[in-house]
Amino acid sequence: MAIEVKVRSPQLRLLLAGLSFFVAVALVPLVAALVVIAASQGMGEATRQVFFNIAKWARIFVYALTAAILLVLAYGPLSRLRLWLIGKREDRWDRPWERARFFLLYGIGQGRMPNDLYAGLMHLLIFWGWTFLFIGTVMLAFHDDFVEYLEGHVYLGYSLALDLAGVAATVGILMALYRRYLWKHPKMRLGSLWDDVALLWLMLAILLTGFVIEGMRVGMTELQGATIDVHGGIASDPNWAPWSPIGFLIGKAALESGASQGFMELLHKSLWWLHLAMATGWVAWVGYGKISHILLGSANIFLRKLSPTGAALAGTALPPIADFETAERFGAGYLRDFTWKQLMDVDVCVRCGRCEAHCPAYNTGKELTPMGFLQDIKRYLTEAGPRLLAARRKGEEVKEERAIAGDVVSFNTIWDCVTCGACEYQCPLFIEHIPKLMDMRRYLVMEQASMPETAQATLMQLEQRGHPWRGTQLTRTTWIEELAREGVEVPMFDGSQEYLYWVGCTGALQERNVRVTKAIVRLLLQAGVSFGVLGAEETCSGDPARRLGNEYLFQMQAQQNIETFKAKGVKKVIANCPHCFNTIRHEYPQLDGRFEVVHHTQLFAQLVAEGRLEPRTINELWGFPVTYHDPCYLARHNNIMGEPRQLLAAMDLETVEMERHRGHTFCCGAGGGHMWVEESKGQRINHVRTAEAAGTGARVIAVACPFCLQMFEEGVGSVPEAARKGMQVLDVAELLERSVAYSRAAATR
Amino acid sequence: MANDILVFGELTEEGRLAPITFELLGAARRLAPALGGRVLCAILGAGLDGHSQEAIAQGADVVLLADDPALQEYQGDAYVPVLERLVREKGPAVVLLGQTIIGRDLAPRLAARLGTAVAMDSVEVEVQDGRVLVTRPCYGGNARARYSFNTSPVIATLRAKSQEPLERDDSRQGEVERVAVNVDAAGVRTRVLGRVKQKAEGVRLEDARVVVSGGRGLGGPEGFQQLEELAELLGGAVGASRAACDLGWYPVSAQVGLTGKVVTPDLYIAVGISGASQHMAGISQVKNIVAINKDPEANIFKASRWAVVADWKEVLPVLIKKVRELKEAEARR
Amino acid sequence: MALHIICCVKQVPDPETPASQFRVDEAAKKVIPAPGIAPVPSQFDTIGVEAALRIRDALGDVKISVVSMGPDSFRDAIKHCLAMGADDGYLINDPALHEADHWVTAQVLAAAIQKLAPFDLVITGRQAVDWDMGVVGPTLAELLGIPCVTIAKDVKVQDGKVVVERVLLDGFETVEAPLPAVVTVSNELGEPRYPQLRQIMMAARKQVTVWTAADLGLNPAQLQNRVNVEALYIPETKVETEFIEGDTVEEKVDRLLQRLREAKLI
Repeated sequence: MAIEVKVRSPQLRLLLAGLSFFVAVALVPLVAALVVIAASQGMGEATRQVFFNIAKWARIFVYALTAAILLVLAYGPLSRLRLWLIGKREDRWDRPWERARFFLLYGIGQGRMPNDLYAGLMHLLIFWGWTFLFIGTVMLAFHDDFVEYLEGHVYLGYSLALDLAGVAATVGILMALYRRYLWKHPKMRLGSLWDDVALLWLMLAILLTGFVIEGMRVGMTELQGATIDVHGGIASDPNWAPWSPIGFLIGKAALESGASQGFMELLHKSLWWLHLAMATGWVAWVGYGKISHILLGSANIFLRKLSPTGAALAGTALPPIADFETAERFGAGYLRDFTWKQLMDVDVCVRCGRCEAHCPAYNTGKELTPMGFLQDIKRYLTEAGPRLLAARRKGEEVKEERAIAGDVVSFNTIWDCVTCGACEYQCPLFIEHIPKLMDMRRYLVMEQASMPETAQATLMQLEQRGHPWRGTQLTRTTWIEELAREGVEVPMFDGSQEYLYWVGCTGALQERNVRVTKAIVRLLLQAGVSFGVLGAEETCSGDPARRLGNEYLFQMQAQQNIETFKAKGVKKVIANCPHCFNTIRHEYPQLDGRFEVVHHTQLFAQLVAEGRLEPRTINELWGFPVTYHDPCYLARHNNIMGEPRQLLAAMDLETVEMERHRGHTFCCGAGGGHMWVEESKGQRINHVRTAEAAGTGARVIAVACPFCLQMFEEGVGSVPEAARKGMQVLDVAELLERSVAYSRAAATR
Repeated sequence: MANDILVFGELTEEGRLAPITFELLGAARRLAPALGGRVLCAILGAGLDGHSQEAIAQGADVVLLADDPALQEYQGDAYVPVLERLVREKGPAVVLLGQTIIGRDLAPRLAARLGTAVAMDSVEVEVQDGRVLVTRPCYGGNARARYSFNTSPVIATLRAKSQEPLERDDSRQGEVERVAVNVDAAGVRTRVLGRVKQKAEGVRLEDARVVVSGGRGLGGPEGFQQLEELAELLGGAVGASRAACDLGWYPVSAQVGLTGKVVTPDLYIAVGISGASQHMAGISQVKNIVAINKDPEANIFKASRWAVVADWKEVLPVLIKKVRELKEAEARR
Repeated sequence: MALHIICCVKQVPDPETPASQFRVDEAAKKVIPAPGIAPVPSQFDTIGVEAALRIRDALGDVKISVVSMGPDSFRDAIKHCLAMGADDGYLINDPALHEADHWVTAQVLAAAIQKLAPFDLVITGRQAVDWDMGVVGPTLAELLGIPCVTIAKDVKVQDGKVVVERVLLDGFETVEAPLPAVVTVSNELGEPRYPQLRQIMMAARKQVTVWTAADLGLNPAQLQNRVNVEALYIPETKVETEFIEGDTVEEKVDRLLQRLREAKLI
């Protein structure tokens, strides 16, 4: 079983989640009820004896035990909560209804589980099986103590549903055991602590003992038509037995194998106590071990970061430092510099490995592993947290506290991240990895001035020259002058136009990207879009500075742009760089800059749909398959995946998808400032991605991001299978410009 | 005399006259007629012997020998007063030094002591309307400035290779004058504690006058051995494109480009480098690029002054051989 | 007793200005600032501040003063050095000095340094990256009558002496000089440190002391330039690619070497 089936489409994933929810909540009981009504005529008396074969005092004992165990359970999260409160304040209680909706969708609905089909199905089976058994147990208690309603058809349906739930959970557990021991899935890398392993076996034991207990009871009562202690004693009926199918089979087998009544009683009684012990143990464990994700994970989904601007992930818009003057520390260096929610995250992680499996840094042999660094912080929180709390309570200075940034979490781990968001996108429990890493970068940069040489050079460059392209021989107006020489007048934005076209540093200062900028301008002019550019007045959007940890520089650059925008009356912005796009869209509002931003692929898709641009088949690309690479900041961070594909379809290009596409796209390697920062070790991310593109058989890699363009240009030169094919890298706008040029030529003929 | 030109004769480590001295003498010789003066060559050192005749053969009229154990190795505090006294005694109109490790230290201090000015790293000295004008590059080579002087003597250091030496003429006649030195030991405030040679590491990439760089076109790490050979012959350093470093053919410390080093040699020889913008960012200030590449369309050619369209495997061995011959001929001169 | 180090710094037009943007006013003999390209601190000067900071890292009790001579815009360079960790900044801003040559500059800086006495070490860059002259440092030493070590790749202070690794063509020599002394530093010393934000914020609040020539007891009229810039121009550097022709490799190589010799490159 080496093939992992993954579901790509977000719609399909939601559909699957909804379906599982529907099947579990509505369909199973409904079918069970219908079957019972249809097939169990004349069994109106059917019911069971609770605490059959068990001493009378056991009932009191069970309640006392339950109360005690709930206290034990509660102590776990509460003790962790104390540790989380080492962290700073953070408000996560806004928009409760939206939170409830997310909880339904991703908590109870298990919305992200089907991302990995095997693991998802496995978890769904265990989750729903266990949930039903839990609900069933509570129902039984209610029946026994308050209203005896589990009788007749209701009882038979109940019994059938619970047996099915038990089977489902058992299958799920067996799938998990198979994955762990026989498949030895790589995602289990960190997931084999005694906690993880013992949990599975315990749950299997609970299920199996449950079935045997049921089997013995059915064997001793229903199958023998024995009188049971209900309503002062009624006769049970063998016809009831098949409605507890597993119990029926086990009981029947026991009887047929000639087990004595005494043996069955003894087995029943001893297993009943064992089952009780294991089940209560399990409940207690929910407060502590991996299984605590039932509580913490649910809470985490409810408490997820909600964006006012519709940012898809927590790492899409980084939280600002509100006031530099009063900030006790810039970024997060020590435990207390994180927020309580960030510390809670590390306890929520169940080491499922989904983040790691999609992390471009980890998968190219770098130090960073998203779940790994969470575990490192967790270990230190557990070890040093109580000491820190005690010191704080006594108002003492904390001695020998280790820094998280650079010590507990290594320097390279912090700098390896390309902020692509794959970890956050995959995490079923909505852990927010990127802001933590970025807060640590802030600490390293602003407090320690500790960063890779190339990051330092980039920040100095940004600071001194307002753009990251050291050594460029172009200026922000070179391309405008060049177009003027070709007779194309580029309008300057003066407030009278509808759109500001934000070119971005790369679009203006890199030869290769200037070609894209020119294509976009030609298309906008062709379509008659009212737009203008800022020319020399543009400066860096601030994205690289922010993602390289210099929040101060980011705020200065963003502030300056916001002022320029406001002074010029900018309302709508076209951006062709997804990083600029993302920053202006989601991060400028933090500094009171609210503008409507469209990505060029969105605008062009609209213009094509409106008939204002008429693409034609590009003859020389006929029969050349094109593969579209989703930029992280467009697809994953902003959910823009359809428009670029619509454009390619409109051009009648033969397209082929890479294995990892749409929300599951694999970073080109340039995010998070890594366009200019050398990778620490391992394979180059862009080479891995280029090889993947080459593997599709495509001849053209279509991109929609200036960094991706740079990275693939380098990649197709370096990756032999791409170089051999002579692969081309083109922005979607360049393809569209060529394609529209055909229709222009056709029109003039 | 007030029209003379005094050349500071620098020695190599082995104690011979350095090539820069010949270049300075050549420049002085060409300047002398316009000024109507002689060419003096001051040589400071210990155990000077035979240098005078060589200096004369290369264009000096008068050789001033300051021979003293205290001048064995360059020490500013020892050299400056000796040269200062020589200049005061001889009263030349122009003093020329080489833009070398010594010249950089010596010339400004000499100028300060003599109450005059200096133009460093010059490439041209001329006389116009009786005035001495010195031209030198500035702004990282982007501009050139021509200076005149309000004080005398005019002091200038000249960039190596900026001046043509004369053909050696052993029949030339000249005077030799031994000058008393009397280095005041108390005046030498600095003390050299030791010298470390780092020949093995070669010239630092960023400082090298010549850089020989290799790229993916080399096809493997073996090609870099030839580049090293050529670089050593030219007194330069070896660089590499990111592609070559990525492939592990050469250490990342030698990477030239956006994420590597920015280099500013006088001559950059790019072998098997296509010229990706990432690489070009590292050599944007370089004026003289020689590109050797099989592909006539290679981007590197656009920025190159000289383009050789050929397989490097054929070109390099021949190039190395001929450069070696040239260097050997030069050394014999 | 705290060690007092004085670093001389300068603001220069960005040396990485694209060649197409580099313009010269030939009549005024001045560089025309490229639009939208801000001046930067001269790189060797910030390396000088780095050298001073490293001495402080090693010794602890070190005061670092930064001195600059130029128009008000030079404040930015001083602020940058303060952000790196220097303690005090001094700017000599006098319109009468805006045309100063390196001799006058050295005179003024020497006067400022003496006003800041006592001092132990003066550090300058090996040259400013605009005029690339490399004269002010050694001239300062002569004016102040103290020893000078040029082109340092490492500067340490030990037992009242400065110990410098001085760059040679094929290595370095270790030179020792008594304090006070002047040291000029080279890029071999290493990258200047990245300022920590707290220090940037502190530097923003720090006052830069501004002096005029008169404050230093100097009369600008008596400070005469010793050199005049007669012309400033951009040399012809247009790259016209010459494809070296030849029937054989030998021929091509010969022709290439001929070109390189003509251009005095080998």
